[in-house]
Amino acid sequence: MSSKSEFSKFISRMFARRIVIIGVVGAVFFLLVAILAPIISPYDPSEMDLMGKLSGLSSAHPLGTDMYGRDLLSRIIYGTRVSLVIGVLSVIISAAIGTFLGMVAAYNGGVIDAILMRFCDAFRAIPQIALSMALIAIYGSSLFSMAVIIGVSTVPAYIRMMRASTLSITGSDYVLAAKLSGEPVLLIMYRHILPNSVSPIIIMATQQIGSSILMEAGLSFLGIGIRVPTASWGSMVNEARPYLLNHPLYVLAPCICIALLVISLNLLGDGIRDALDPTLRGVNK
Amino acid sequence: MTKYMLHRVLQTLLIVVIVSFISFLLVSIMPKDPVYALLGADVTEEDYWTTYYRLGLDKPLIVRYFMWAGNALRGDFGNSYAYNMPVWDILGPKLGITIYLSVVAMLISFPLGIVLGIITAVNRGKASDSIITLIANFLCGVPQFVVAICLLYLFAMKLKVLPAIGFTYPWVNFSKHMSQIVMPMICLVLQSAAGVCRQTRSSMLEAYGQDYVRTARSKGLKEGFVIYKHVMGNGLIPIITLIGGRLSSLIGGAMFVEAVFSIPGMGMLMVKSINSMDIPVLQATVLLTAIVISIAYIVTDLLYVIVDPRISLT
Repeated sequence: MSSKSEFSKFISRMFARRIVIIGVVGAVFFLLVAILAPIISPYDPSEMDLMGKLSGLSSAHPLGTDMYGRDLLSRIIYGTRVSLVIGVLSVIISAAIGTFLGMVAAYNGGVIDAILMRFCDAFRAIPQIALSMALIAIYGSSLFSMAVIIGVSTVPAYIRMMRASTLSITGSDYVLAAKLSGEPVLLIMYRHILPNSVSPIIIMATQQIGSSILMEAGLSFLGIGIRVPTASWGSMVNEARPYLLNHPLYVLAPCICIALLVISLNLLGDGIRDALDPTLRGVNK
Repeated sequence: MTKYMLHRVLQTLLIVVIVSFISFLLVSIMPKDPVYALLGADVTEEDYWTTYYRLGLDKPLIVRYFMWAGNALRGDFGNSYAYNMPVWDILGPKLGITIYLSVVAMLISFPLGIVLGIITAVNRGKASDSIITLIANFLCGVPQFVVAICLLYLFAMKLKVLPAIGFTYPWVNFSKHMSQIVMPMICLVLQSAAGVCRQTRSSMLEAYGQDYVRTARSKGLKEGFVIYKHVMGNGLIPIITLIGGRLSSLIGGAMFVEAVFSIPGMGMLMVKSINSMDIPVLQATVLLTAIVISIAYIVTDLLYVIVDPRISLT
């Protein structure tokens, strides 16, 4: 009973601003498109048809075809997968590493804390895109390594956040009690510190998914992200750029999708923030 | 105050040392042999070993780091693998263009974003607030290159009023500079101002909720005076801390905008360097941008101390 009312409270706080509904609908829509991609896409996204390249809108190809005669709609549908996988995976990676290191820094203090913090300062000084580019040069740009690279380049922000929220807890009585009862450090972190300090991390993570997707799209747009033939919205825009004047839809369709997805996710993130952190909600009213 | 700034400068030097070590490590953790990256795969054994010793690859990692860092201090970042020229000769002019774009964009977008943020916070809940906030949220979700492409399509291709590509410094040819820089600048300023506006708004609203604002109101002070004296005074201070991070994201954003408008800045160079595995150029870029941003962080702290004297006491 009480967990149900907790849940309904969460939902009512989350949707306190109506615009959040748009975000949820958008996010669910793109998620469904990504999951159902093989069923709903009319063609194989890599199937070329050089005779029918750059065709305009038609009933056979609702959005037309690209420079290799591949069906644009199918490529956009499959591109949803790339964006969502990279967005979610990179955030999971960075949140997991950042949460752990932030807890370690705050719990141990001293030299470990100082070293970790100086490294965070150093990473903060490097523009995220420069760091990502340098790492791509070394580790390549497969789907997985892109997710890891984008994830790693955002870790310092999570470390700082987790460190700050852990610091306020390490001195509390229940942590002291756990220490005195001889619980192992990792268990104390898992059982007592994590549940009480994780909500800022969840807020940050949900708001970071959109930025990670933007970063992937940007890197792919520069031609150093996801490689052909995998359909990624960013690389589609890059490919289509020379045709901007005569086939604007070819360029604009993936652009619009990136914007819609990221805006939906940002709105969803705002909703989750409102629900988890009532102090911030008052600010945005 | 002097002690505080000295402490900050020393801290920044430490950060630069760590960054230099990180960017040096990029070569050492590269799975590919740097000699092959430099000379190509079909190299005679004699050439291989000559280069191997010339690059000092027989020495331990830490020795190589100090050799590299010592040279870097004198402005020598080695030779580019791809161009076979000193890295600085290639990177310097391009770095200048990117920094110029980012700094100008910051100088425009900060006042603009702050003014818009104040307008939205003062009119919170009214139509002007909703519209500006909606546009700001929208701009934060649209990639920079999308805005750039839309502008390019509209102004350069359809209306043909602005040149599509290129960059000229204002002191070389001012009118050409102005026409070329309008679109890239709009892209950079719009997004940056949107971010500053959002943060100004929430910082101002936080100040609205404070007890001293309620006290000022209950004393019967005029609302305009309360806003000016109490809300703005305290609400705008945190905005200064955004300068460093904003410059960092503007440098990143400039790279995308450069790609759309064919501006010969760092963005294009980085892409070329990645495709040709030109590690010395990448190393130098990471190090130099980090130094520029660290300087911005120091300036931020200095401004912060000037604006808010409470800080220097800690």
